[in-house]
Amino acid sequence: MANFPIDLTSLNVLLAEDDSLEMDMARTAVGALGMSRITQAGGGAQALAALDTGFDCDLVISDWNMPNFDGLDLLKAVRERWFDVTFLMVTNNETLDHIRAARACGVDGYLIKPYSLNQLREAVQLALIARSIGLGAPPEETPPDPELAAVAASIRRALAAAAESAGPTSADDHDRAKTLGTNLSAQLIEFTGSSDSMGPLGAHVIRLHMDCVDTLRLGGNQLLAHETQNLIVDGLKLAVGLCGKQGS
Amino acid sequence: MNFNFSGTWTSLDGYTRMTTKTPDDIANARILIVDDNSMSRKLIEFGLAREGYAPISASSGEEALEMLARLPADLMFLDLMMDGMSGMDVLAAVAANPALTNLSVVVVSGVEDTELADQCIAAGAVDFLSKPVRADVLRDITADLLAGRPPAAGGAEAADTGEDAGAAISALPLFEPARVAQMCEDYGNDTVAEFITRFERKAAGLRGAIVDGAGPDSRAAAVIAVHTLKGGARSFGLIRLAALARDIERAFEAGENATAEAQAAALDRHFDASLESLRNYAQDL
Repeated sequence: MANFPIDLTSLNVLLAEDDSLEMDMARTAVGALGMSRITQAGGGAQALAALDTGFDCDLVISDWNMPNFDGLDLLKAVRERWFDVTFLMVTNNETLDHIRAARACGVDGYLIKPYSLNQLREAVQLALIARSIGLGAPPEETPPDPELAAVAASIRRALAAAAESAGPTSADDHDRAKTLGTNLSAQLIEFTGSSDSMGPLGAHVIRLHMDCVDTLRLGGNQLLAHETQNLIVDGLKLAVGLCGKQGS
Repeated sequence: MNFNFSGTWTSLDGYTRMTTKTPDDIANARILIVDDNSMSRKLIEFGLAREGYAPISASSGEEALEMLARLPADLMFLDLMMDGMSGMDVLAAVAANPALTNLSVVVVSGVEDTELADQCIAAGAVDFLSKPVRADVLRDITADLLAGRPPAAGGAEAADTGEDAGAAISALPLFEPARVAQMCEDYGNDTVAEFITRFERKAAGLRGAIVDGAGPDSRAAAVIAVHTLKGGARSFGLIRLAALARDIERAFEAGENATAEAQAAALDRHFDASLESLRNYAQDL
């Protein structure tokens, strides 16, 4: 597993974007986050060519809609040949069907334009964590701590039920989903920056967070029901606390 | 329980709507709108009232079922995600109640999701619409269902004259400054002002490609242009333009070229005012 927090400024970033204004806006954004090792590709094919030269890329930030070889084609190629490269799709395609299609191809993060700097920072960090988890232990494995195993089981039951439900349908839901997502993401990012996350339980707790954030994003709005939300939030806090107890 | 719905229908919140100017069949149509978001509810109420219907509303699934027990309805527009009983719960309760077999339920969802739509249809809904519901779609689907016809394959395939869609579109603000303000905070005013200038130039070209793309020869270029304009308009808070671009993009995806053409004409009409409001804001940066 990678070490967190990752220093964003040290990342080698490949930007794939066919529109010159969008490219400049994206470059300004990643620059404002302190990333300076940036390679620009004016399309999917150019991005693939850059990777082919043996360029040591950590993170691809790609548009989806590009002529000929689009972002999804690029994602498939990256997953096939550069498994440990983190792939963040940044797109105007906002439907759940699109998000599911990208997930099915192994995308690590999905950010809908337009985005604020904070949203981009969070998306990059989560995508990096997602990739590190993608390389880590399988999720089915039971945590080696009975208390955490019990917490994880109850959270997973709630997630399974929520995954069946619909996504946000009103403006209020969107706001609540956004707030909950931001809170869970912030807690996850803080946890991955702590020494506890490196302990034997850390990967389980990170994956629990990721799965909650994921379920929230892919619909699963039963998470917004008060009881479920409390269970998730309190359960994750408890899980984080259990890691600290184990570490000390 | 039988009710006589001639002339007026007093909803449970005590609000009375007069419908004497409309033909009896329209006035007597019993339509229930269920949504916990008052703005979403009002949009549909307004659209139906414009056609002469007198819908009543419920702000929760529980309230809807209580109303249905007292006042059987012909047609229900049902929001999915509500506190308490969800739309799915309401669908299940309707399906399980033999007294409600004549009730047609149209699910209205904030997300466009084919899997979810299939689930709703399987649970007994007759159709699935995504918000915001277009005025012409609402009109056609209501007329079809009340006449006992199957809906014309939902919102996506309803014909559009451009005028009807204009009513809903015109309700959207031309420009919402929050997005640009956030960009200024993130990147500084000068950078954002430069982006806006470049976007204005680019948008003029995209507008041309979209309007020309109504004809089949240049459609491929128009498909790309409309996606690009949607993104740019969203980036700079041009809400109305972004909504029109999104509608055109969806019409292209669905192969509804007549709709795309009408919407492109609408985009053309709203374009100058949109860009002008952005320019006015940018002048002060």
